[in-house]
Amino acid sequence: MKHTFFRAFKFAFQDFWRNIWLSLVTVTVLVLALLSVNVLISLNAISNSIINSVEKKVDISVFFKENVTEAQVDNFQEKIKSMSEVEESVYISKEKALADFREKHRGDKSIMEALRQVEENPLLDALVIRAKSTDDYSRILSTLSMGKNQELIKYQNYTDHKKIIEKVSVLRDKVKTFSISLTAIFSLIAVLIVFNSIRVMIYTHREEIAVMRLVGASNSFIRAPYILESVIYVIFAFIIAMIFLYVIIGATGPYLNDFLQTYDFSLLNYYAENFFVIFGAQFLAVVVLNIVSSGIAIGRYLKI
Amino acid sequence: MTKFYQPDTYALKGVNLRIKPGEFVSIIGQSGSGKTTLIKLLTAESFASSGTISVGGWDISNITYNEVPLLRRQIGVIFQDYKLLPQKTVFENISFALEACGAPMKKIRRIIPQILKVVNLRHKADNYPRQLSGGEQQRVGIARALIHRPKILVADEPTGNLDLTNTKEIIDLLKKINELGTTVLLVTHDKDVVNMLKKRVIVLEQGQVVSDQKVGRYVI
Repeated sequence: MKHTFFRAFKFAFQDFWRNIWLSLVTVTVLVLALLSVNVLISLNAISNSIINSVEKKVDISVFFKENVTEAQVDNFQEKIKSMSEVEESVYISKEKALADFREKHRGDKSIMEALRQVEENPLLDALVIRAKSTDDYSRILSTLSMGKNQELIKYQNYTDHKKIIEKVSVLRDKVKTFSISLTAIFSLIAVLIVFNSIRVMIYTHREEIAVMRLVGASNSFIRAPYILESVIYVIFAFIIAMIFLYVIIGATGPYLNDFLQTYDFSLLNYYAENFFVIFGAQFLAVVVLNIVSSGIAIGRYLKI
Repeated sequence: MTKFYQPDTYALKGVNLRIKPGEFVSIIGQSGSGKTTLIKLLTAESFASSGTISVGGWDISNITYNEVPLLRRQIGVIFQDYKLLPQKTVFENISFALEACGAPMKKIRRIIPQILKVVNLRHKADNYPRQLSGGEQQRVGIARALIHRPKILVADEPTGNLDLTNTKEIIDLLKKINELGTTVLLVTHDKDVVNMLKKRVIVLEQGQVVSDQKVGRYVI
Protein backbone atom coordinates (compact mmCIF):
# COMPACT_ATOMS: atom_id res chain seq x y z
CA MET A 1 0.00 0.00 0.00
CA LYS A 2 2.83 2.37 0.99
CA HIS A 3 4.71 1.40 -2.22
CA THR A 4 1.67 2.09 -4.35
CA PHE A 5 1.04 5.49 -2.75
CA PHE A 6 4.67 6.49 -3.12
CA ARG A 7 4.66 5.34 -6.75
CA ALA A 8 1.48 7.26 -7.48
CA PHE A 9 3.18 10.43 -6.17
CA LYS A 10 6.30 9.70 -8.18
CA PHE A 11 4.29 9.24 -11.37
CA ALA A 12 2.26 12.36 -10.63
CA PHE A 13 5.36 14.54 -10.23
CA GLN A 14 7.03 12.95 -13.23
CA ASP A 15 4.01 13.58 -15.40
CA PHE A 16 3.68 17.16 -14.11
CA TRP A 17 7.29 17.91 -14.98
CA ARG A 18 7.51 16.00 -18.26
CA ASN A 19 4.33 17.63 -19.58
CA ILE A 20 5.40 21.01 -18.27
CA TRP A 21 3.57 23.15 -20.84
CA LEU A 22 0.27 21.38 -20.26
CA SER A 23 0.87 21.69 -16.51
CA LEU A 24 1.59 25.41 -16.80
CA VAL A 25 -1.55 26.03 -18.84
CA THR A 26 -3.72 24.11 -16.36
CA VAL A 27 -2.16 25.91 -13.39
CA THR A 28 -2.68 29.27 -15.14
CA VAL A 29 -6.37 28.53 -15.65
CA LEU A 30 -6.69 27.65 -11.96
CA VAL A 31 -4.86 30.83 -10.94
CA LEU A 32 -7.20 32.98 -13.05
CA ALA A 33 -10.25 31.24 -11.61
CA LEU A 34 -8.97 31.79 -8.06
CA LEU A 35 -8.11 35.42 -8.71
CA SER A 36 -11.54 36.18 -10.15
CA VAL A 37 -13.26 34.64 -7.13
CA ASN A 38 -10.98 36.57 -4.75
CA VAL A 39 -11.61 39.85 -6.56
CA LEU A 40 -15.29 39.28 -5.90
CA ILE A 41 -14.62 38.41 -2.27
CA SER A 42 -12.68 41.67 -1.96
CA LEU A 43 -15.45 43.73 -3.57
CA ASN A 44 -17.94 42.02 -1.30
CA ALA A 45 -15.87 42.81 1.78
CA ILE A 46 -15.45 46.45 0.75
CA SER A 47 -19.14 46.97 0.00
CA ASN A 48 -20.15 45.27 3.27
CA SER A 49 -17.77 47.50 5.16
CA ILE A 50 -19.18 50.64 3.54
CA ILE A 51 -22.76 49.57 4.17
CA ASN A 52 -21.97 48.66 7.80
CA SER A 53 -20.32 52.03 8.33
CA VAL A 54 -23.32 53.86 6.93
CA GLU A 55 -25.61 51.78 9.10
CA LYS A 56 -23.56 52.63 12.18
CA LYS A 57 -24.04 56.33 11.47
CA VAL A 58 -27.78 55.91 11.45
CA ASP A 59 -29.41 56.47 14.83
CA ILE A 60 -32.52 57.96 16.33
CA SER A 61 -32.78 60.55 19.08
CA VAL A 62 -35.53 60.58 21.64
CA PHE A 63 -36.12 63.98 23.32
CA PHE A 64 -37.66 63.99 26.78
CA LYS A 65 -40.22 66.45 28.15
CA GLU A 66 -38.89 69.30 30.31
CA ASN A 67 -40.39 67.89 33.53
CA VAL A 68 -38.84 64.41 33.22
CA THR A 69 -36.49 63.60 36.11
CA GLU A 70 -33.06 62.02 35.87
CA ALA A 71 -34.35 58.91 37.61
CA GLN A 72 -37.09 58.52 35.04
CA VAL A 73 -34.55 58.93 32.24
CA ASP A 74 -32.26 56.31 33.85
CA ASN A 75 -35.18 53.92 34.17
CA PHE A 76 -36.16 54.52 30.56
CA GLN A 77 -32.60 53.98 29.39
CA GLU A 78 -32.37 50.67 31.26
CA LYS A 79 -35.51 49.46 29.50
CA ILE A 80 -34.10 50.47 26.12
CA LYS A 81 -30.71 48.84 26.78
CA SER A 82 -32.41 45.58 27.73
CA MET A 83 -33.91 45.30 24.23
CA SER A 84 -32.03 42.80 22.09
CA GLU A 85 -32.36 45.05 19.06
CA VAL A 86 -30.44 47.92 20.70
CA GLU A 87 -26.71 48.12 20.03
CA GLU A 88 -26.05 51.24 22.07
CA SER A 89 -27.87 54.05 23.82
CA VAL A 90 -26.20 57.27 24.96
CA TYR A 91 -27.80 59.83 27.27
CA ILE A 92 -27.09 63.48 26.42
CA SER A 93 -28.22 65.96 29.05
CA LYS A 94 -29.49 69.32 27.89
CA GLU A 95 -26.44 70.98 29.44
CA LYS A 96 -24.10 68.80 27.48
CA ALA A 97 -26.20 69.28 24.37
CA LEU A 98 -25.91 73.06 24.78
CA ALA A 99 -22.15 72.89 25.38
CA ASP A 100 -21.72 70.72 22.26
CA PHE A 101 -23.91 73.12 20.28
CA ARG A 102 -21.85 76.14 21.40
CA GLU A 103 -18.61 74.31 20.47
CA LYS A 104 -19.95 73.30 17.08
CA HIS A 105 -21.13 76.80 16.17
CA ARG A 106 -18.56 78.96 17.99
CA GLY A 107 -17.49 80.50 14.70
CA ASP A 108 -21.04 81.51 13.79
CA LYS A 109 -21.67 84.97 15.28
CA SER A 110 -25.40 85.07 14.60
CA ILE A 111 -26.03 81.78 16.40
CA MET A 112 -23.81 82.76 19.33
CA GLU A 113 -25.68 86.12 19.60
CA ALA A 114 -29.04 84.28 19.50
CA LEU A 115 -27.91 82.00 22.35
CA ARG A 116 -26.87 85.02 24.46
CA GLN A 117 -30.31 86.52 24.01
CA VAL A 118 -32.13 83.31 24.96
CA GLU A 119 -31.86 83.14 28.73
CA GLU A 120 -32.84 79.54 29.26
CA ASN A 121 -31.41 76.41 27.69
CA PRO A 122 -33.75 75.71 24.80
CA LEU A 123 -32.48 72.16 24.34
CA LEU A 124 -33.90 69.01 25.89
CA ASP A 125 -32.46 65.90 27.53
CA ALA A 126 -32.09 63.26 24.86
CA LEU A 127 -31.32 59.61 24.40
CA VAL A 128 -29.46 58.64 21.19
CA ILE A 129 -30.30 55.06 20.27
CA ARG A 130 -28.41 52.95 17.75
CA ALA A 131 -29.94 49.63 16.66
CA LYS A 132 -28.01 46.54 15.61
CA SER A 133 -29.69 46.69 12.23
CA THR A 134 -31.67 49.38 10.44
CA ASP A 135 -34.52 46.88 10.28
CA ASP A 136 -34.84 47.06 14.10
CA TYR A 137 -35.74 50.74 14.41
CA SER A 138 -39.43 50.26 13.78
CA ARG A 139 -39.61 47.68 16.60
CA ILE A 140 -37.73 49.99 18.95
CA LEU A 141 -40.07 52.83 18.05
CA SER A 142 -43.15 50.77 18.70
CA THR A 143 -41.77 49.97 22.18
CA LEU A 144 -41.12 53.64 22.79
CA SER A 145 -44.68 54.53 21.92
CA MET A 146 -46.14 51.99 24.35
CA GLY A 147 -47.91 53.02 27.57
CA LYS A 148 -45.95 55.12 30.09
CA ASN A 149 -43.02 55.63 27.73
CA GLN A 150 -45.18 57.97 25.67
CA GLU A 151 -45.67 60.23 28.68
CA LEU A 152 -41.93 60.93 28.93
CA ILE A 153 -41.19 61.64 25.30
CA LYS A 154 -41.71 65.04 23.72
CA TYR A 155 -40.66 63.90 20.26
CA GLN A 156 -38.30 61.62 18.34
CA ASN A 157 -36.58 62.20 15.03
CA TYR A 158 -37.18 58.72 13.55
CA THR A 159 -40.01 59.98 11.36
CA ASP A 160 -37.60 62.53 9.82
CA HIS A 161 -34.95 59.88 9.23
CA LYS A 162 -37.32 57.06 8.36
CA LYS A 163 -36.86 57.35 4.64
CA ILE A 164 -33.07 57.41 4.88
CA ILE A 165 -33.08 54.44 7.22
CA GLU A 166 -35.33 52.49 4.88
CA LYS A 167 -33.18 53.40 1.87
CA VAL A 168 -30.05 52.22 3.66
CA SER A 169 -31.80 48.92 4.51
CA VAL A 170 -32.93 48.41 0.94
CA LEU A 171 -29.46 49.31 -0.40
CA ARG A 172 -27.80 46.92 2.01
CA ASP A 173 -30.13 44.07 1.01
CA LYS A 174 -29.69 44.77 -2.70
CA VAL A 175 -25.90 44.96 -2.45
CA LYS A 176 -25.87 41.72 -0.47
CA THR A 177 -28.11 39.93 -2.98
CA PHE A 178 -26.09 41.28 -5.91
CA SER A 179 -22.78 40.25 -4.32
CA ILE A 180 -24.00 36.77 -3.50
CA SER A 181 -25.46 36.29 -6.99
CA LEU A 182 -22.32 37.58 -8.70
CA THR A 183 -20.09 35.43 -6.50
CA ALA A 184 -22.25 32.40 -7.24
CA ILE A 185 -22.15 33.04 -11.00
CA PHE A 186 -18.39 33.58 -11.04
CA SER A 187 -17.85 30.54 -8.85
CA LEU A 188 -19.94 28.46 -11.25
CA ILE A 189 -17.94 29.79 -14.19
CA ALA A 190 -14.72 29.01 -12.31
CA VAL A 191 -15.99 25.49 -11.57
CA LEU A 192 -16.80 24.88 -15.24
CA ILE A 193 -13.46 26.26 -16.39
CA VAL A 194 -11.52 24.13 -13.94
CA PHE A 195 -13.59 21.04 -14.77
CA ASN A 196 -12.97 21.53 -18.46
CA SER A 197 -9.24 22.15 -18.01
CA ILE A 198 -8.87 18.92 -16.08
CA ARG A 199 -10.88 17.08 -18.73
CA VAL A 200 -8.58 18.44 -21.43
CA MET A 201 -5.56 17.38 -19.40
CA ILE A 202 -6.92 13.85 -19.04
CA TYR A 203 -7.95 13.81 -22.71
CA THR A 204 -4.36 14.45 -23.79
CA HIS A 205 -3.39 11.38 -21.75
CA ARG A 206 -6.08 9.09 -23.17
CA GLU A 207 -3.73 6.97 -25.22
CA GLU A 208 -1.39 6.55 -22.28
CA ILE A 209 -4.31 5.47 -20.13
CA ALA A 210 -5.28 2.89 -22.77
CA VAL A 211 -1.72 1.55 -22.84
CA MET A 212 -1.61 1.32 -19.05
CA ARG A 213 -4.79 -0.75 -19.11
CA LEU A 214 -3.41 -3.02 -21.79
CA VAL A 215 -0.31 -3.86 -19.80
CA GLY A 216 -2.41 -4.90 -16.82
CA ALA A 217 -2.49 -1.85 -14.56
CA SER A 218 -5.55 -1.73 -12.32
CA ASN A 219 -7.93 1.19 -12.61
CA SER A 220 -6.95 2.56 -9.23
CA PHE A 221 -3.24 2.39 -10.16
CA ILE A 222 -3.98 4.33 -13.34
CA ARG A 223 -6.30 6.82 -11.67
CA ALA A 224 -4.26 7.69 -8.59
CA PRO A 225 -1.38 9.60 -10.24
CA TYR A 226 -3.76 11.78 -12.27
CA ILE A 227 -5.80 12.62 -9.22
CA LEU A 228 -2.65 13.43 -7.27
CA GLU A 229 -1.39 15.46 -10.21
CA SER A 230 -4.58 17.53 -10.10
CA VAL A 231 -3.88 18.19 -6.40
CA ILE A 232 -0.36 19.31 -7.32
CA TYR A 233 -1.90 21.75 -9.80
CA VAL A 234 -4.09 23.16 -7.02
CA ILE A 235 -1.15 23.60 -4.65
CA PHE A 236 0.92 25.46 -7.23
CA ALA A 237 -2.07 27.51 -8.40
CA PHE A 238 -2.86 28.49 -4.83
CA ILE A 239 0.64 29.64 -4.03
CA ILE A 240 0.81 31.70 -7.23
CA ALA A 241 -2.70 33.12 -6.78
CA MET A 242 -1.95 34.17 -3.17
CA ILE A 243 1.27 35.89 -4.22
CA PHE A 244 -0.54 37.74 -7.01
CA LEU A 245 -3.40 38.66 -4.71
CA TYR A 246 -1.15 40.12 -2.03
CA VAL A 247 0.85 42.01 -4.65
CA ILE A 248 -2.37 43.45 -6.10
CA ILE A 249 -3.72 44.36 -2.66
CA GLY A 250 -0.39 45.92 -1.75
CA ALA A 251 -0.26 47.93 -4.98
CA THR A 252 -3.86 49.14 -4.76
CA GLY A 253 -3.69 49.58 -0.98
CA PRO A 254 -2.83 53.33 -0.91
CA TYR A 255 -5.66 54.16 -3.33
CA LEU A 256 -8.15 51.97 -1.50
CA ASN A 257 -7.12 53.39 1.88
CA ASP A 258 -7.73 56.93 0.61
CA PHE A 259 -11.17 55.90 -0.53
CA LEU A 260 -12.02 53.85 2.52
CA GLN A 261 -10.39 55.92 5.27
CA THR A 262 -13.73 57.24 6.51
CA TYR A 263 -14.95 53.66 6.73
CA ASP A 264 -12.01 52.32 8.73
CA PHE A 265 -11.45 49.29 6.50
CA SER A 266 -8.24 47.69 5.23
CA LEU A 267 -8.41 44.92 2.65
CA LEU A 268 -5.02 43.61 3.72
CA ASN A 269 -6.16 43.33 7.32
CA TYR A 270 -9.39 41.70 6.21
CA TYR A 271 -7.48 38.95 4.41
CA ALA A 272 -4.98 38.61 7.23
CA GLU A 273 -7.73 38.23 9.84
CA ASN A 274 -9.74 35.77 7.75
CA PHE A 275 -6.82 34.01 6.10
CA PHE A 276 -7.61 30.46 7.14
CA VAL A 277 -11.35 30.75 6.52
CA ILE A 278 -11.05 32.38 3.09
CA PHE A 279 -8.13 30.41 1.73
CA GLY A 280 -8.87 27.23 3.61
CA ALA A 281 -12.39 27.04 2.20
CA GLN A 282 -11.21 27.89 -1.31
CA PHE A 283 -8.36 25.38 -1.18
CA LEU A 284 -10.67 22.64 0.01
CA ALA A 285 -13.29 23.49 -2.61
CA VAL A 286 -10.78 23.57 -5.48
CA VAL A 287 -9.07 20.35 -4.35
CA VAL A 288 -12.43 18.55 -4.16
CA LEU A 289 -13.44 20.00 -7.52
CA ASN A 290 -10.19 18.89 -9.14
CA ILE A 291 -10.38 15.41 -7.68
CA VAL A 292 -13.99 14.98 -8.78
CA SER A 293 -13.22 16.40 -12.25
CA SER A 294 -10.23 14.06 -12.66
CA GLY A 295 -12.24 11.12 -11.43
CA ILE A 296 -15.08 11.79 -13.84
CA ALA A 297 -12.81 12.61 -16.79
CA ILE A 298 -10.55 9.60 -16.35
CA GLY A 299 -13.50 7.29 -15.71
CA ARG A 300 -14.46 7.67 -19.35
CA TYR A 301 -11.26 6.02 -20.47
CA LEU A 302 -11.32 3.24 -17.90
CA LYS A 303 -14.52 1.56 -19.01
CA ILE A 304 -14.15 -1.83 -20.58
CA MET B 1 -17.27 -18.60 -30.13
CA THR B 2 -19.13 -15.79 -31.89
CA LYS B 3 -18.88 -12.02 -31.79
CA PHE B 4 -21.90 -10.22 -33.18
CA TYR B 5 -22.51 -6.48 -33.68
CA GLN B 6 -26.00 -5.11 -34.15
CA PRO B 7 -27.86 -5.20 -36.48
CA ASP B 8 -26.35 -7.95 -38.61
CA THR B 9 -22.55 -8.02 -38.48
CA TYR B 10 -20.59 -11.07 -37.40
CA ALA B 11 -17.00 -10.12 -36.54
CA LEU B 12 -16.39 -13.78 -35.63
CA LYS B 13 -18.75 -16.65 -36.32
CA GLY B 14 -18.51 -20.13 -34.88
CA VAL B 15 -14.76 -19.92 -34.33
CA ASN B 16 -13.54 -23.10 -32.71
CA LEU B 17 -9.81 -23.10 -31.96
CA ARG B 18 -7.49 -24.87 -29.60
CA ILE B 19 -3.96 -23.60 -29.25
CA LYS B 20 -1.62 -25.77 -27.24
CA PRO B 21 0.95 -24.41 -24.79
CA GLY B 22 4.23 -23.63 -26.54
CA GLU B 23 2.77 -23.42 -30.03
CA PHE B 24 3.71 -20.74 -32.55
CA VAL B 25 0.59 -19.82 -34.51
CA SER B 26 0.26 -17.29 -37.31
CA ILE B 27 -3.22 -15.88 -37.83
CA ILE B 28 -3.73 -14.37 -41.24
CA GLY B 29 -6.62 -12.87 -43.17
CA GLN B 30 -7.71 -9.82 -45.10
CA SER B 31 -8.82 -6.61 -43.39
CA GLY B 32 -12.12 -7.19 -41.64
CA SER B 33 -11.64 -10.94 -41.37
CA GLY B 34 -11.78 -10.83 -37.57
CA LYS B 35 -8.09 -11.00 -36.56
CA THR B 36 -8.18 -7.90 -34.36
CA THR B 37 -11.50 -8.97 -32.84
CA LEU B 38 -9.94 -12.29 -31.87
CA ILE B 39 -7.11 -10.50 -30.05
CA LYS B 40 -9.53 -8.15 -28.33
CA LEU B 41 -11.52 -11.13 -27.05
CA LEU B 42 -8.35 -12.77 -25.76
CA THR B 43 -7.32 -9.63 -23.84
CA ALA B 44 -10.86 -8.89 -22.60
CA GLU B 45 -11.03 -5.62 -24.49
CA SER B 46 -14.25 -7.02 -25.85
CA PHE B 47 -16.53 -9.91 -24.93
CA ALA B 48 -17.89 -12.78 -27.03
CA SER B 49 -21.59 -12.72 -27.87
CA SER B 50 -21.70 -16.48 -27.36
CA GLY B 51 -19.32 -19.32 -26.64
CA THR B 52 -16.38 -19.55 -24.26
CA ILE B 53 -12.79 -18.44 -24.23
CA SER B 54 -10.33 -20.19 -21.99
CA VAL B 55 -6.77 -19.02 -21.32
CA GLY B 56 -4.52 -21.48 -19.50
CA GLY B 57 -7.59 -23.20 -18.07
CA TRP B 58 -9.20 -19.93 -16.95
CA ASP B 59 -12.61 -19.32 -18.54
CA ILE B 60 -12.55 -15.60 -19.27
CA SER B 61 -15.94 -15.48 -21.00
CA ASN B 62 -17.51 -13.74 -17.99
CA ILE B 63 -14.42 -12.17 -16.52
CA THR B 64 -15.15 -9.39 -14.01
CA TYR B 65 -13.95 -5.81 -14.26
CA ASN B 66 -11.46 -6.31 -11.42
CA GLU B 67 -9.99 -9.52 -12.93
CA VAL B 68 -9.14 -7.92 -16.29
CA PRO B 69 -5.78 -6.47 -15.15
CA LEU B 70 -4.82 -9.94 -13.82
CA LEU B 71 -5.58 -11.51 -17.20
CA ARG B 72 -3.58 -8.89 -19.06
CA ARG B 73 -0.56 -9.58 -16.91
CA GLN B 74 -0.69 -13.17 -18.12
CA ILE B 75 -0.95 -12.27 -21.78
CA GLY B 76 1.83 -10.18 -23.25
CA VAL B 77 0.71 -8.09 -26.22
CA ILE B 78 2.84 -6.39 -28.85
CA PHE B 79 1.31 -3.82 -31.15
CA GLN B 80 2.01 -2.50 -34.61
CA ASP B 81 2.29 1.05 -33.22
CA TYR B 82 4.34 -0.14 -30.21
CA LYS B 83 2.08 1.66 -27.70
CA LEU B 84 4.88 2.92 -25.51
CA LEU B 85 4.34 5.65 -22.92
CA PRO B 86 5.99 8.67 -24.55
CA GLN B 87 6.86 10.50 -21.33
CA LYS B 88 8.62 7.51 -19.78
CA THR B 89 12.10 6.18 -20.57
CA VAL B 90 12.75 2.68 -21.88
CA PHE B 91 13.46 1.51 -18.33
CA GLU B 92 10.29 3.17 -17.01
CA ASN B 93 8.12 1.79 -19.81
CA ILE B 94 9.11 -1.73 -18.85
CA SER B 95 9.17 -1.18 -15.08
CA PHE B 96 5.67 0.31 -15.24
CA ALA B 97 4.26 -3.13 -15.97
CA LEU B 98 5.93 -4.45 -12.79
CA GLU B 99 5.11 -1.42 -10.66
CA ALA B 100 1.48 -1.80 -11.68
CA CYS B 101 1.34 -5.08 -9.77
CA GLY B 102 3.23 -3.80 -6.74
CA ALA B 103 6.65 -5.29 -7.36
CA PRO B 104 9.34 -3.80 -5.10
CA MET B 105 11.97 -1.55 -6.70
CA LYS B 106 14.75 -3.93 -5.70
CA LYS B 107 13.19 -6.70 -7.79
CA ILE B 108 12.50 -4.30 -10.67
CA ARG B 109 16.09 -3.05 -10.74
CA ARG B 110 17.28 -6.66 -10.85
CA ILE B 111 14.91 -7.96 -13.57
CA ILE B 112 14.87 -5.12 -16.08
CA PRO B 113 18.56 -5.13 -17.01
CA GLN B 114 18.17 -8.87 -17.69
CA ILE B 115 15.23 -8.36 -19.99
CA LEU B 116 16.93 -5.42 -21.73
CA LYS B 117 19.87 -7.71 -22.39
CA VAL B 118 17.53 -10.24 -24.03
CA VAL B 119 16.22 -7.59 -26.44
CA ASN B 120 19.65 -5.99 -26.79
CA LEU B 121 18.68 -2.56 -25.50
CA ARG B 122 20.63 -2.28 -22.27
CA HIS B 123 22.50 0.78 -23.54
CA LYS B 124 19.23 2.59 -24.28
CA ALA B 125 17.62 2.23 -20.86
CA ASP B 126 17.48 6.01 -20.23
CA ASN B 127 16.26 6.98 -23.69
CA TYR B 128 12.72 8.08 -24.46
CA PRO B 129 10.70 6.34 -27.21
CA ARG B 130 11.08 9.37 -29.49
CA GLN B 131 14.84 8.79 -29.37
CA LEU B 132 14.57 5.20 -30.65
CA SER B 133 14.15 3.66 -34.10
CA GLY B 134 11.03 1.66 -34.98
CA GLY B 135 12.80 -1.63 -34.43
CA GLU B 136 14.13 -0.51 -31.07
CA GLN B 137 10.70 0.69 -29.97
CA GLN B 138 9.21 -2.66 -30.89
CA ARG B 139 11.91 -4.43 -28.89
CA VAL B 140 10.95 -2.30 -25.90
CA GLY B 141 7.37 -3.40 -26.52
CA ILE B 142 8.48 -7.03 -26.53
CA ALA B 143 10.49 -6.55 -23.34
CA ARG B 144 7.47 -5.03 -21.63
CA ALA B 145 5.25 -7.85 -22.88
CA LEU B 146 7.67 -10.43 -21.48
CA ILE B 147 8.27 -8.86 -18.08
CA HIS B 148 5.57 -10.89 -16.35
CA ARG B 149 6.75 -14.10 -18.05
CA PRO B 150 3.37 -14.51 -19.70
CA LYS B 151 1.97 -17.82 -20.85
CA ILE B 152 0.95 -16.27 -24.14
CA LEU B 153 2.52 -13.60 -26.27
CA VAL B 154 0.18 -12.01 -28.79
CA ALA B 155 1.84 -10.03 -31.56
CA ASP B 156 -0.61 -7.85 -33.50
CA GLU B 157 1.17 -6.89 -36.74
CA PRO B 158 4.45 -6.34 -34.90
CA THR B 159 6.42 -5.74 -38.08
CA GLY B 160 3.82 -3.58 -39.85
CA ASN B 161 5.88 -0.39 -39.48
CA LEU B 162 9.34 -1.92 -39.84
CA ASP B 163 11.82 -2.45 -42.65
CA LEU B 164 13.14 -5.85 -43.70
CA THR B 165 16.11 -5.90 -41.36
CA ASN B 166 14.11 -4.95 -38.31
CA THR B 167 11.33 -7.33 -39.31
CA LYS B 168 13.76 -10.23 -39.35
CA GLU B 169 15.15 -9.17 -35.96
CA ILE B 170 11.69 -9.07 -34.38
CA ILE B 171 10.61 -12.39 -35.86
CA ASP B 172 13.86 -14.02 -34.70
CA LEU B 173 13.18 -12.66 -31.22
CA LEU B 174 9.66 -14.08 -31.27
CA LYS B 175 11.00 -17.45 -32.34
CA LYS B 176 13.54 -17.35 -29.53
CA ILE B 177 10.79 -16.54 -27.03
CA ASN B 178 8.72 -19.40 -28.36
CA GLU B 179 11.62 -21.80 -28.03
CA LEU B 180 11.80 -20.88 -24.36
CA GLY B 181 8.24 -22.16 -23.93
CA THR B 182 5.94 -19.17 -24.46
CA THR B 183 2.94 -19.66 -26.74
CA VAL B 184 3.11 -17.09 -29.54
CA LEU B 185 0.16 -15.85 -31.58
CA LEU B 186 1.33 -13.79 -34.52
CA VAL B 187 -1.26 -11.76 -36.43
CA THR B 188 0.25 -10.57 -39.66
CA HIS B 189 -0.23 -9.55 -43.26
CA ASP B 190 3.38 -10.28 -44.11
CA LYS B 191 3.47 -13.18 -46.53
CA ASP B 192 7.22 -13.62 -46.35
CA VAL B 193 7.22 -13.86 -42.58
CA VAL B 194 4.52 -16.55 -42.55
CA ASN B 195 6.18 -18.58 -45.26
CA MET B 196 9.56 -18.30 -43.58
CA LEU B 197 8.29 -19.49 -40.21
CA LYS B 198 6.86 -22.79 -41.39
CA LYS B 199 4.62 -22.96 -38.35
CA ARG B 200 0.89 -23.46 -37.81
CA VAL B 201 -1.20 -21.05 -39.90
CA ILE B 202 -4.85 -20.22 -39.25
CA VAL B 203 -6.69 -18.35 -41.99
CA LEU B 204 -9.70 -16.21 -41.12
CA GLU B 205 -12.21 -15.04 -43.69
CA GLN B 206 -15.33 -13.01 -42.86
CA GLY B 207 -15.11 -14.02 -39.22
CA GLN B 208 -14.73 -17.75 -39.85
CA VAL B 209 -11.77 -20.12 -39.80
CA VAL B 210 -11.36 -21.30 -43.36
CA SER B 211 -8.02 -23.03 -42.97
CA ASP B 212 -5.91 -24.39 -40.12
CA GLN B 213 -2.66 -26.04 -41.16
CA LYS B 214 0.01 -27.38 -38.88
CA VAL B 215 2.78 -26.26 -41.24
CA GLY B 216 1.11 -23.65 -43.36
CA ARG B 217 1.81 -21.05 -45.97
CA TYR B 218 0.34 -17.62 -46.68
CA VAL B 219 -2.63 -18.46 -48.92
CA ILE B 220 -5.24 -15.73 -49.29
